Amino acid sequence: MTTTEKIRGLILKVAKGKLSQEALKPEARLSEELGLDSLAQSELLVLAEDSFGIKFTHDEVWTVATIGQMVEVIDSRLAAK
Amino acid sequence: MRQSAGILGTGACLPEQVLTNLELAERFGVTPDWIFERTGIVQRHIAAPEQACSDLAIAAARQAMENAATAPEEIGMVIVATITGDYTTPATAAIVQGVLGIPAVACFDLSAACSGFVYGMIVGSHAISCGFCNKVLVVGSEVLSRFTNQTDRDSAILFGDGAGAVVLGGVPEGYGLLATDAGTCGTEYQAIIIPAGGSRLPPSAETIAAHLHYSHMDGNQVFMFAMRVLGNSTLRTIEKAGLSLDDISLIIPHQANRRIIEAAAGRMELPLSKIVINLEQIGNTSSASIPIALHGVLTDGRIRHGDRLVLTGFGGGVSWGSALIRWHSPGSDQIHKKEKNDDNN
Repeated sequence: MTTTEKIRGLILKVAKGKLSQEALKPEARLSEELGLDSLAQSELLVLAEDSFGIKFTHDEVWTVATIGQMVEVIDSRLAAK
Repeated sequence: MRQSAGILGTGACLPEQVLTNLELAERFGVTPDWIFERTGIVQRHIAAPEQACSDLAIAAARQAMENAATAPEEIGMVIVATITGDYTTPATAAIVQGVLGIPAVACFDLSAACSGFVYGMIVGSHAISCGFCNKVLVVGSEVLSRFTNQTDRDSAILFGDGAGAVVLGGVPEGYGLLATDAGTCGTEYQAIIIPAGGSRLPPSAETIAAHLHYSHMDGNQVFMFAMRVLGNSTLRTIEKAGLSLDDISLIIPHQANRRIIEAAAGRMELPLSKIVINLEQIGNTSSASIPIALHGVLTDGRIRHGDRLVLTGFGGGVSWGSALIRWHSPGSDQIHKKEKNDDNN
């Protein structure tokens, strides 16, 4: 399973049935387009940390705004391992 | 052999005045549902102007001592977990002791924010186990409304005032506190902070004008910390006791925010049916939230002799603390009183 697919799965889990796969485009903004409030975004980040075995830095928590950006951060972290 | 220590009686005190979502929604230009969706809270209790931390603590402690059938002269230590004490000095515990007529024993406040009550339980139970004293009064009491910027939406919708108390004492071996887990990650100390009023930034006209005497919180950082630590510390404590989640009847977490509790439960596959949540009518009362929730489930008859509970606190520091308790029906028989009432109805 690719990073993008895993992230999409986690977003669907956090959204609790309020989103469909079709909405989860790489450029989709977590807040404005997917409707994830700040708490839901925090939940998503923790689930992603668990899933990929990484820990986001304080700066990353504030800068990750789209699915694509999240995938980019995670892939660069995994590559550096 | 070391004396096992457990809870002999509980008490709680909530101020009469409530602050509803409706009032806050009008203040901040949102809807009551918007607040509820983000917090799980409908109302919080707010102390009257003349009420301070010790007033709530004393009322909760009186009830706990009555339920534990414990006279003031039997108490050998008083611990008040609080971050909103009456004064910087003396300790609020000293005021509690004086008013309740407790003898000249060790009385001190414990500052570990929302983990404070569990820390107090750990310290108190060890004081009993090592023979320092026979009974310990542990109180969690907060008047957070005095340290909450009521014009800051994210803080004002969360915090309320209240107190909860327990009397700890000797219980038969195999009961009481069976395992504990506690820690602090001080590199993240700024996540929840009241910046001014201490020696780092003494109070001044400038600090007050800048609202630095109110609590400040990095909501995302706190959410992520709490979501990780709630489940991790709970499961670690259960493991230390050589038990599994199936052996646990109830988990009583710090009542921070419903979303945090649900997210943490989902992450660790903790069944929500075992998790006590009373946020709706009480809000987040920091160190007081766990003993208030414990008193609630006990008086509702949800705890029976032999049940195993986990109390788990997390918050400023950032800190966490958990305690696994095997319940021993105390001499005060709150449970039996409730059963009798039920039989009569």
